[in-house]
Amino acid sequence: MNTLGISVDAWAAWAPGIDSPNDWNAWLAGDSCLDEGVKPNVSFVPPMYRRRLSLLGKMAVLTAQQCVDQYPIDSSLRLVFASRYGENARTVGILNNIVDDGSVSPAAFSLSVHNAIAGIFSIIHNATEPSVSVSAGQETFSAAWIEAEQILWSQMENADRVLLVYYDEPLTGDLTRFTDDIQIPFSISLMLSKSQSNGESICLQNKRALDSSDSSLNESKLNQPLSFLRLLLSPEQMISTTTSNWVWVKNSANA
Amino acid sequence: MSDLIQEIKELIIEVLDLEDISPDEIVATEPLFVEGLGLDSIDALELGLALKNKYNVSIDAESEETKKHFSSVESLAAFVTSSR
Repeated sequence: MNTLGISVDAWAAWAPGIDSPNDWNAWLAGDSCLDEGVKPNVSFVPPMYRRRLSLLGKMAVLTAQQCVDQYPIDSSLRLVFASRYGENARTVGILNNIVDDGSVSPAAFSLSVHNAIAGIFSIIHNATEPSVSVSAGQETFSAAWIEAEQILWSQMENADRVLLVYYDEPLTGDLTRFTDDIQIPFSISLMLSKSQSNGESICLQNKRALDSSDSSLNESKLNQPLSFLRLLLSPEQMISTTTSNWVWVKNSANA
Repeated sequence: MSDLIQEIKELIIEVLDLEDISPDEIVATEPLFVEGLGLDSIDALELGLALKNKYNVSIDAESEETKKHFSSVESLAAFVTSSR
């Protein structure tokens, strides 16, 4: 079957109190090591930009930075930012202000848009490379993966790498009634490239395209990005979620 | 006037999330925007809204006079005083 494999050259994931592969393994195994008191350390961001970052933005910029520390930004890098809920706390705050006294904070409004964090990240790095911001409900992470795939394989993009930055935090205020997945503040960033013939890669497939006799498919109850993290950390060969038809499949060196 | 200057400095720090800056570090006669403190156009809008709410002053975003009022903390204090 013809599939587009992607190599994960570097990754980083952060949640309050959880910032190493060991921590994530413990959390995935059911230990409640989440510590909401721990804040992401983004002291590398100049103060005038740091003040514009919420917890969500700080988490995103932190894991993104950990990837570009290993693979510096150059003209062959493209950026894909993805978040299901985005800056929902800012949005709820704006809506409440409108109800209360009709005023809208210009700063909160400008920072509530879906590409605000992508914008701050690119300003910090003086990066003029194209970036996109994706949101697609429960399938936001797979949509971002597909975006990265098409950028890497498109002749027109001329891109060697894609930095995929995923981030979310729990719904707030009146939006909490729409909760239908795990609610923790977290961010995962991946440095992606086209798979090489001799390297490990991961490809995204549809469940229906899999051999139905294959019993090794795990349907994770976690959301897509945290399920993907579980695949990265475990010897499992493929993973899907209960709420989607997308499956991530590992390929060891192409046969 | 010096009380008002202190008050405006504290307002700037509060509404623009300048947690790392103390009021003493803002020089009342220095430029607030681009140079000096280095604020930008979004900050100008945010500060305008805060001044309007706190001192009930009316600010015309299109006017050249407004630019002068927003040039430093001192000029903002003078503007607030003359509008009250």
